Amino acid sequence: MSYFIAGYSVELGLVLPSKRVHATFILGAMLSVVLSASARVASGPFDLAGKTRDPFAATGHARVFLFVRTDCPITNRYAPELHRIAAEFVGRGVEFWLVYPDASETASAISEHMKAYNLPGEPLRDPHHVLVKRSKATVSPEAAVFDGANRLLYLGRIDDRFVELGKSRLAPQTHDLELSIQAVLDGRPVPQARTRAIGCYLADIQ
Amino acid sequence: MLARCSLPCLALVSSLSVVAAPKPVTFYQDIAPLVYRECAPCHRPGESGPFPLLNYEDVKRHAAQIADVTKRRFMPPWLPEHGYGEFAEERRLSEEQIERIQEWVRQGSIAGSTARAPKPPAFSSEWQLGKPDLVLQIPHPYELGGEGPEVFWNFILTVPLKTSQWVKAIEVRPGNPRVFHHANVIIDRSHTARRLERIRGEGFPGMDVALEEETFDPDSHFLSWKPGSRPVVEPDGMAWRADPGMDLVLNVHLKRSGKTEIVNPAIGIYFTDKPRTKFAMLVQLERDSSIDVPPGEKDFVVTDDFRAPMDLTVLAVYPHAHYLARLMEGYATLPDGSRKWLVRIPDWDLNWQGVYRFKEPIALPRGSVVSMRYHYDNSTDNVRNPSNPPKEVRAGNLATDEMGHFWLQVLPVGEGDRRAVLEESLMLQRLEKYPADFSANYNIGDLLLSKGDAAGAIPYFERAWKTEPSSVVAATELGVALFGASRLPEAEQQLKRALGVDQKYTDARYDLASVQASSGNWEAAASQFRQVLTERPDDAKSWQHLVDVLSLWGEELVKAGDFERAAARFREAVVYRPKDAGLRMSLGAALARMGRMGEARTEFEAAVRIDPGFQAARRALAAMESQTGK
Repeated sequence: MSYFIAGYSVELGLVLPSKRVHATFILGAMLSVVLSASARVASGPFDLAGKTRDPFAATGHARVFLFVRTDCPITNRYAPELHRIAAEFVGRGVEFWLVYPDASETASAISEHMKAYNLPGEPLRDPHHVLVKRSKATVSPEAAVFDGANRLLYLGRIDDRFVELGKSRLAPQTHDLELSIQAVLDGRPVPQARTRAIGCYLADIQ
Repeated sequence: MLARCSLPCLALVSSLSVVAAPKPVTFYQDIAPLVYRECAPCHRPGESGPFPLLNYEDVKRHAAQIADVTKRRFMPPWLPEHGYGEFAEERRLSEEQIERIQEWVRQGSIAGSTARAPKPPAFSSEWQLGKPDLVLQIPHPYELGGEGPEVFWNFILTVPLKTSQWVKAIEVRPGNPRVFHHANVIIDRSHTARRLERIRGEGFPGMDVALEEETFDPDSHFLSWKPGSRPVVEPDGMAWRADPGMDLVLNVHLKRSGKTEIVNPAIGIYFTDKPRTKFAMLVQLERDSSIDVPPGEKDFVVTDDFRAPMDLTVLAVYPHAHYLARLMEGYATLPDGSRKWLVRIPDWDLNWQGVYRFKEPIALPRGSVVSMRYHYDNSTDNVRNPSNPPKEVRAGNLATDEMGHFWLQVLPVGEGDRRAVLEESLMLQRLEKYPADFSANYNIGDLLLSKGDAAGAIPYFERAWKTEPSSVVAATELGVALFGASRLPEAEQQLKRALGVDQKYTDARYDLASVQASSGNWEAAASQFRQVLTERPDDAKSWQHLVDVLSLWGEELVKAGDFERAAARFREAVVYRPKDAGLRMSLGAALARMGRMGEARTEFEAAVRIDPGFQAARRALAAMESQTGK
């Protein structure tokens, strides 16, 4: 838990745009530390049986969080591609976690969604946005790639197929997630650490 | 202000500190009326919107997304630029409405008081126009895989009518609106589309469908479906005719959802007893033959124009291109030099193409010039470019090809059917500009042919075929024109060439058989008609002609004294038409001449059974009896 909070604060310092907002966020972060400390029983993330899981405790070379919503058409359209990417890294020490940050999505709805779209990875409910905040994810679908030391090395789109909501290429040109996972496994810097994901906002389901 | 603000909006407050506190915007008061009217028709279960927007919770779950897509005017989807043509069903938010949504989200997407909340929208999941008079289902449900490129598919639906009926409306039911993106319905009276099917009933791929008609009777309606659109009921006098056995081609654009989907669309048809009295026409501007866009070209312009040869009113427009088009303009220059906008689309998106019907018909006095100016971007700047790296693009039917069409539904001012005059004038204008133009040459030839001027039609079909040597239809029509002009040997040669282009084009084979029959080449004609009938077993006219040919062939053999072969021809004809007393008589006579009296008697008796008043057969029987002395 302490590592978790420390990592969170450190990462906050990386991307904040201005000093004033920075201060506000630190305040928010501190508050959330207080809050999570007082209510540590139920912050999650949880597996579908409702048990708390710590995906950062696993031992792989890389962990990938795929932030998804059951009601997001762009997320669903990416299902075959996510499946392909997960299959590509099978047996290579990459853990895929399918993170559902919408508190209102039930375990059974999630199981159904995974089955209907043949989605890869182990499902996690993240109703209190613990993983969302740690990854700084904002959109569904969005991917966060951490290395074995739990450093966030990539956050963003799966590929560049979507340019805006409603504006897409017929085929992607850059497979950002795939390239990033490969780079992490190779111990190289990822080609682009942050990309803009297009999809449904996670802010809408806080 | 501060007092009302909870912790997460502290940052917001600090950035707004110099701005006057905005008026609170709440869902029930300010947003619900908008969303219920503009979004909910599609965003509800069973419709194409991917998530419902039917209450506060629904809308809040997508609030930031709604703010984003409305601000960029991606939603509601509406391509035409405001102020360049006034359309019924305009689905467009005002600047004020968009700002209201932004402000609502900025203030935290609050619900507000339900005291003055509008009633949530109620929708029916039934046919919007009520129970149809006739429902056509596609032959087999279509299975769309979860992954891969977008699909453009054509289903063929046959109209099972006993008599012709007037149609005032159709309603398309997508069957699976999540993947069914838009659809056009094309009337195919001549079963042209069936030739494009690999397996009958399967349908065929392709973004655009071009069909020919047997006679000049253009179907002058835009029959289409797009998400959220209400079916159009044609005004009195503008019904279109549905003929028994004709086909409707349902041309659909399917987007994949990420999982396998079953698509099972249906078309509901609504009849009227009010026949057509107003003869509208679809007029097309296009210059596909000029489309040859070099890779990297950012602004390739395709233009076409026509001059109104009579006073016209424009009821609707349908702009169409594929993925490279960006700016698309259609306008009229009136005789006084002023410009009347028909439509302007600043950023074309094939996904949201549609038919745009004018709120009030646009009057185009005779002499007005209608123009299309389409701009194409074949560079990498165009994210929709289907080819990466860009490649040279020409006109065609594939997603990687281009098109540039501007269709207008026009109604000539005044009484009666003036379509042929309009068509001829438009096609002659095209020929002046583009002497080798395929459709102009073909259509003029067709018009002349329908007026009975086969000789006049020949040079037009010759030019059309020369422009498109792969067009079996042009090759065949040239043969038909030669036939009509009584140039039989040339007609026969030409129709054989047509079959060389496409040996499965049954129309050409039928025409060839007819030419050979007219030349008295019975053997060849019979052989071709037999082949036509294996391809089209239900073709009553071909059965009739085959029997006639066999019968005439038999008579000729009788005259030449070859009774055995004559009898064989008559016998085959009898198999096809057993209830024809005359054929039985001819067969009996041939058999009698060969001395096969028993068989001959059977035929004469059959002839009398079929037609008891058939004197010749009775006399033949009497003669046989007197000869044998019975």
